[in-house]
Amino acid sequence: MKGDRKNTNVFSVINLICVFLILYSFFNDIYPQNKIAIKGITVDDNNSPLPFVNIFIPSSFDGTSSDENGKFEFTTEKKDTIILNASIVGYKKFEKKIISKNQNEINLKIILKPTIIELKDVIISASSFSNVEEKGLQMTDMDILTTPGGAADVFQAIKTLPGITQVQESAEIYVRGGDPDETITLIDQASLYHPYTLESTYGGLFSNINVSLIKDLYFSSGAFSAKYGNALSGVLELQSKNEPENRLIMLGISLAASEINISYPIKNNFGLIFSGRQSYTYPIFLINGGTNQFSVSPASRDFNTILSYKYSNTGRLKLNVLYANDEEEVNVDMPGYQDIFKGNSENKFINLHHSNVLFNNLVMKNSISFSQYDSYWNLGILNLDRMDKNYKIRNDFDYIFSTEIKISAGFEIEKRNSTFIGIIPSEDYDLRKEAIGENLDALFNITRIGSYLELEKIDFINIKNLFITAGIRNDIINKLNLSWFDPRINLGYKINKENILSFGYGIFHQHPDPRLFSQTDGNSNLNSMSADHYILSFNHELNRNNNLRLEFYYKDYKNLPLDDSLINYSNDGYGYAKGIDFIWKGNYKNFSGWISYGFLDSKRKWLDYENLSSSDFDITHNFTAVIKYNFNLKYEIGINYKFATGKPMTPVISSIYHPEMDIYEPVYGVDNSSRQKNYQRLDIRFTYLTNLFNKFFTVFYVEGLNILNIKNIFDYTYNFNYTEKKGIESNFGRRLLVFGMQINLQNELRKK
Amino acid sequence: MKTQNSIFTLTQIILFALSTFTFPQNINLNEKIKEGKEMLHQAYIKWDLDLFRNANNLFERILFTDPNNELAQYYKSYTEYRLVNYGLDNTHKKLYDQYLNSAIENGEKLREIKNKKLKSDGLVVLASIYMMKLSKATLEAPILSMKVNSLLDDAEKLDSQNPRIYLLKGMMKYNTPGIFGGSFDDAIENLQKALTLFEQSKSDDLFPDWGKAESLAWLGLSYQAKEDFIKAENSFNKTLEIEPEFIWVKYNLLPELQKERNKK
Repeated sequence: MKGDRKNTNVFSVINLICVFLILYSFFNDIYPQNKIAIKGITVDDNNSPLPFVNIFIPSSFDGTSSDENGKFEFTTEKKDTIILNASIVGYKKFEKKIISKNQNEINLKIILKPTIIELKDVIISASSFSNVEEKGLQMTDMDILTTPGGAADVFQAIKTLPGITQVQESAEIYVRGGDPDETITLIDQASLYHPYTLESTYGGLFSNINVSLIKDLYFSSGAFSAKYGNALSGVLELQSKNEPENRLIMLGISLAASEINISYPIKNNFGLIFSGRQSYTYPIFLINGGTNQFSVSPASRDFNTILSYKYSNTGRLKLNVLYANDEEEVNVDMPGYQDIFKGNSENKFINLHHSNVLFNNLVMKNSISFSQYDSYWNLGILNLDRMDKNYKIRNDFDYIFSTEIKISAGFEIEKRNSTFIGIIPSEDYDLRKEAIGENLDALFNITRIGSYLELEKIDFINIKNLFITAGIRNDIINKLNLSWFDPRINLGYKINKENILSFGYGIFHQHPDPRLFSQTDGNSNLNSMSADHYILSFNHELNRNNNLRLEFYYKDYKNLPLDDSLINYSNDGYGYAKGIDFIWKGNYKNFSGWISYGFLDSKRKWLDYENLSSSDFDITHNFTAVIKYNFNLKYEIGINYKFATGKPMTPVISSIYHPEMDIYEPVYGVDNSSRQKNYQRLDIRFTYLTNLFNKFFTVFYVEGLNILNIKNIFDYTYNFNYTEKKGIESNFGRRLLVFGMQINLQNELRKK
Repeated sequence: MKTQNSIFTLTQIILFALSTFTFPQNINLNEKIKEGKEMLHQAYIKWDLDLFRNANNLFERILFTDPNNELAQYYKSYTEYRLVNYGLDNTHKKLYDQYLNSAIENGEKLREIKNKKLKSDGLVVLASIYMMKLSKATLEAPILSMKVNSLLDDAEKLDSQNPRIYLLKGMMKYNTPGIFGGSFDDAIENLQKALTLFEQSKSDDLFPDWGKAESLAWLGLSYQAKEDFIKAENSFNKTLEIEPEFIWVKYNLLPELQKERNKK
């Protein structure tokens, strides 16, 4: 009995303890004494609040999202050490170990850094056009492919932009009073000095760059960045496509050319793109007339291969190989005789390009390239072999300090060998076979080292929407004792979402034609040429689909080479180019296109132009309208209308007879005191889109070039004694009908 | 007495032990997935960006705990698809750029899902993401279109009774221009098939079951495109019967339909 009472007492104590523990654990769960509050704010590295950041304790579900002001608060189980994570897309994951010990509350400021820093806004420079939205007024690959009369050619499409004057039918770009040599072309940082096919005295007809291989395009007609040097007027920068994701074959055939493009993914992140084109003009002239212009109709071919390998998230290696050649034999009327101009050329280009992002905010691009251009010209006594070899190494670095500051720097070493071997006429008015000629054997070797430093800043001097790009460039050509510093600045102000005002200024140097440095008939002490650019630009976005741009510019040319009786050439030449450019680009309902107008006043005193007179490229008015209308997405009709003031020309006012050679020498009037007839041309294109066999996207087109058959004159030829003149039209200037098709054979290669 | 006390004590000990587990410290992932799934449903019906983002964060946390959770992978990708979709609106353009690459990267991982039915839905989501990319593409459009159709074909091979395959096919047929093979009649056919399959399928707490209201909305749009306004209105009304607060239909599609009818 005594034992039973003792046992009962023990059980009672145990019961009491159990009840207490049950109640304790129950109430502890509802009213926890072992919780800690974690609160704070999430910001970026500019101290701006970051909403919707995911803040949590891993392995538990304690956590929350930050609110619109970046603030957060939640509770979690109290532990000695808490691992806190924070993440949001576009920023590096954040992790922190917190020692909580006896605290009931922890207050934190979480700073998240972007994974790849980018400037928070894109700076638009004056006079720039790009397919990358916001890098300039947009010029997309579809614009290039569908411009009527443009033959899907990059250069022919760029010629429809304001500031590009219509001097020839060729693809060469004459920018705001400058000649084509004043504009450089870069592809993946490598220079391409002969980007045209069928270069002859009339300039290259089309480019040998296939637009299907281009990913990005940037063109500037003035005040461009310090990244680009040795160019007085303009820059065209192209980026080639990367490794393809899908297998694709495109076949094209027309009256003028046939083409094959192949995209082939070899492995994950490694692929090949190939393009082969053959152009032949004989069928066009057979159907449209004009075969009598040629002994051998112009023909060309180009083959381009890109091998691209993305070896990491940010690293890529790309090999670009281009081969092109062409030939033509054109019947030429000379004063008192006829002859055949024979020309052919071969172009080889290879570029190894590398890009990567280091330390998250340092973008590095490197390129090593080689190109070789060989050409042969023969007309009467003229017999000229030309070879241009170019070797180049280029490195560019962009360091993004923050979303408001970017610093760029780079350097390039470029070696250019040019040789001219053959016979040139002693007098340019006598090209007959029996004329007196001079032997030419010239070799020019130039190595240029260029470097630059540039700053881009958004919200400059803390003024919101004020942006600046300021840079300085240095180029050195030791052999010619040339060295220059070029400051460049672009200042812009985003007045509001629709309006941007910008001002661009820069000094631009370029070395003169190497032939002018010749020891025999040149001046080895010539200095570099320069042009100061002043550009005021106003961009207005009418709506998402329509943009206007108005620009005023002035280019002050100095130190141009000028004929000198004592030293062959001096640097006393000068000139200017000033004007207004306007463009509207956009779409309305089923209409799309652009209208551009440029007014130019350009004068030069240089080379053998003894007085300040209209330059050869002084085309006062340039007007282009490219308008397309789309019917129910199947049919499209487009027109391309161009008007340009006639090209300046120096009239022949009389002639002198040389009996010993039985030839007349023309006597010229005042330099460029006359003009040719105004230029006009209307091209029309009908396009039909369909899905052949319900599988293959196909484009059929018919194009009428110079549909009004306007006789545009680019030069004159004369009779034997220069008493009668006859206009020379472009070989491709007559009314021409061209038709063709393009079929896409697609076969998706799925990722495993 | 002794026995009674022992039993009583044992019971208390058990109760004590249970009380410490009544409010468990272990996380039930399936419960969290259900929570996220419901959040996504509400986000879509109300077109609420905050809910989409919260859902995205929730699935991210689940994946942190269990990186191999296939359902969480699926719903994370689905959420990113909806965020990219939200970014098609110009006022939220940044969302499109922000989430597209992540959506594609995570979406591609859905090809590795082992559960056949879930993998079929995963391919549908991946196709949806590429469809978003297609809506902004120009020259790439024919290639992306092929990619989307190929993914849907693969999804069909895995589960031919998945209604969301036909919802996507219907959307593609509606949005593709005629010259590229689009057709409102084909859109209607696919969407009706989707609805039939939705009727036959059972809703599930965990596995995907979205798309019925969306199918009805697209069906209404397809009828409207063919100027069959009565059938269009019927479809929109049916949508609101099952989802009375479906913002897209209630405040956008129906009023637009009335406007168009009044013009004719």
